[in-house]
Amino acid sequence: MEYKTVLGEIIKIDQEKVGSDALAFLVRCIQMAHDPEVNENDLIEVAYSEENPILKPGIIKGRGFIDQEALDHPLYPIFADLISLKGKNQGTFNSENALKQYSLTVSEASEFLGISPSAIRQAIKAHKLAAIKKDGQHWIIPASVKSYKVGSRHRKRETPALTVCFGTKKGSGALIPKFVNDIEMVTKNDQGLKEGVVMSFLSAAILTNTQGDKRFFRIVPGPDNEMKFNGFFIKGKFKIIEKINNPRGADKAFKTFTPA
Amino acid sequence: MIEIQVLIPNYSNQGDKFTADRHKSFESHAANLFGGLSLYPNNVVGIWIDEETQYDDQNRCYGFAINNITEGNKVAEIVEFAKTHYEQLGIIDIL
Repeated sequence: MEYKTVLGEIIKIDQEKVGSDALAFLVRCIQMAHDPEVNENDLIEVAYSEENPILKPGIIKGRGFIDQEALDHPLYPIFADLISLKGKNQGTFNSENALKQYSLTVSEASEFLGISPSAIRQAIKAHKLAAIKKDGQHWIIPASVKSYKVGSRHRKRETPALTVCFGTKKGSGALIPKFVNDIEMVTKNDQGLKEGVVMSFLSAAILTNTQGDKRFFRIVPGPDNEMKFNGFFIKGKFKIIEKINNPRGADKAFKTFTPA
Repeated sequence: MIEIQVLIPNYSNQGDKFTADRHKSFESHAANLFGGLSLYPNNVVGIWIDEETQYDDQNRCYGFAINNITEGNKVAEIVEFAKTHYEQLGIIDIL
């Protein structure tokens, strides 16, 4: 028996393992998710109540208790998905837009957090990171990676992800970076250009400009790399995933880019 | 025992509804801190005003318990977590 989520993931259900009570309750909730007379609140009221066999009675009367055991239950992701399914059926949940939120690979998340790819996979398995599996590969929501760093007290990166030489210099043009956080420890180097470090990032943009010849680069965490431009540079762990060479397109892409 | 309620937005700042995975990560973090939590059936509709811009919010309401006020740091932690996790300027918690 299988269940397909609104994002296209397949969840296999072992009927013997989950038991007939839980299965019957799931079927009831699936029917509610498809019933146009039932709204999202009605569905939450039932699916997350203490009637649900996979939830223990909680501290709040009538409401089920979502503990680690419930989160690990094979049917839990289905109950959670039914709320999205109800939204989809009512036109409030857009699967395509939702899928776009999952933009980070395991290696990119690993690079950002400074922990191994296997630790990232473990965190996904333990529901600590919001991720889906598509074509055999995990895709993670960037904000989930950022909150994991905040909440889980994993070791922080001791060395900066990037060293950046940036700014504008007469005759040399300009290299303007766009990171989510300010560039730290900024000093002036012996050529009079600003130099600083970026401790971590998920997605950033760089605009270079030589007498109006503008170029746009989008960078994400990657292997050791170096990018040089008229005395400006970016060194560290990054890779370029998008490049726009025409000045108007580059300018527009930079202005509308949101770093992470 | 003190019951805490936290209002979590249903929609991102871009207007997209948060996915089940996103809520599940939040629930997992809260379950680690408080042992578990419950989801209330009524979405809470509210208004959020920031620098003269009004945002209409729809929130899901989670409830969990702390033994006494000395565990208030856990509440602060889950609120900070939620702010980053859901990319929000603020998260409302109610004692």
